[in-house]
Amino acid sequence: MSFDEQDHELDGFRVATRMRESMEHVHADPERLVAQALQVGQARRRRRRYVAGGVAALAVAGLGVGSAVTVSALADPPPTVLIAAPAAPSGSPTPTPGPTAKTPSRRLSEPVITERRLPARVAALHLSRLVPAGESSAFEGQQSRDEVYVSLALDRGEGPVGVEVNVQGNFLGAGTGREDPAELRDFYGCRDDGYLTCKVTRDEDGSPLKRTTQRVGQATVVVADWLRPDGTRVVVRTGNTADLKYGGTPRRGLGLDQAVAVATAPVWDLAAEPSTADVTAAERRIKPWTLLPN
Amino acid sequence: MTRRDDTAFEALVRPCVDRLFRAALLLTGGDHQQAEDLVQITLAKLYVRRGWDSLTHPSAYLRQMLVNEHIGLRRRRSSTEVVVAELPDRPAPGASELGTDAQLDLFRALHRLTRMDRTVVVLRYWEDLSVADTAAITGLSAGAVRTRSGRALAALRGQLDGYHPDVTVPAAPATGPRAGGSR
Repeated sequence: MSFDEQDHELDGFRVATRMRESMEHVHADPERLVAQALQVGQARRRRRRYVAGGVAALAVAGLGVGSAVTVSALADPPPTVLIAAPAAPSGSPTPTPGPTAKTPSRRLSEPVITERRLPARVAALHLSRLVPAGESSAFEGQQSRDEVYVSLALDRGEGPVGVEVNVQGNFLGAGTGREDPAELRDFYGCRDDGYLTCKVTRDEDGSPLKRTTQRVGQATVVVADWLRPDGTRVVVRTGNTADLKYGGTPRRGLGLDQAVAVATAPVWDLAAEPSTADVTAAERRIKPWTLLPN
Repeated sequence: MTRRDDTAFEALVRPCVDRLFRAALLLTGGDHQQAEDLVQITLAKLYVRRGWDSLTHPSAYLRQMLVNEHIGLRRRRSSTEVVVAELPDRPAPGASELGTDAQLDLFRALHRLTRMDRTVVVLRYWEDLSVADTAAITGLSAGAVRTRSGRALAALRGQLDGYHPDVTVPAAPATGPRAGGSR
């Protein structure tokens, strides 16, 4: 063990001990926090029902039965986790019934959800159409008010490779005039993370596009990270392996140019309603972990 | 959702709240209000999510949600968050008189880290997660977790200099797992 490693270990040990000692006497007020969370959660559910109900009523009144099916699909309440991937379990606490007394809730600064965002399954369809022809499957996705993440496995007959896209709105305040240019410059720089290659270019409007390649195990992962002028960040990760996080068997995959082409495609608009022309009713019924049309 | 569901939800999350709040307090660098907000938003989001009643490990799931929410705040609050050199002297409720100074020092030191570095440190040394698990939760690469962890520890060393816990650091075998090291 080198001196640096010993130092690192000692520091880690000290910090862990310091945390334990400092937090020993800190306790939450579970009754109040849970009660407040329930109130916020109940309000959110009411809002969803209100929005869904209003849209459904409009559909019945003006658009007829055929349209109602479409609108009903649009009215799926955000945020929706289609496939969630919880962290590795670390034990299963035994639930114990607790008191149900409610206390007045402090209002949170969460904005009210007022508009429909790009659904993850539609983003998955976009992605499946942007990658080279093949069998796209094992779709998983997650969406929230200001972010969509989808991942799929693309198989062109030589085994699957992973392709992920993450669309984030209002990234670091970009596009609002309140962004910190230094922070953005730092983020869209090449100083960190042990890249094999890293290159940042800027469009005429100044929007940065960062292209990186990284070694992950035996595989190579490429990332195209584009921050658009409107503050939308589109990150595409792919490479020559199915497991982009930990690496895996290298095979013919997608390259940086293909990642850039996906990232800069004009379909990643978080605020856009998926029009019925773009997404068929059959495509709306696509479920996670099913083959996607390509 | 029925009253019975509410009761089931409370029974599910109550055992996790204390640890969740402590993690939130560390993640926010000692900001009690923000930590409560984080916990509250996390619980509320779980409540509106379908399938919470079938969770077998709610604490791990909630921890992941908490970190997601915390990292997400970087984007949502980046325009309003102000990094200050000194954390206001505000002891966390529940802290003993004896623990306050040490606690404030720790919070000050954590507060000076970047949000992601702080997240990595809390996951590694408070939640005692491996590099791989920390990487999976934060979405960083394992290398980035090591880099950020090392950088944060170096910064904390300067901030917490002079602090020596009254314990003996176990000597790690050459091939065994290392406390605080990469796993």
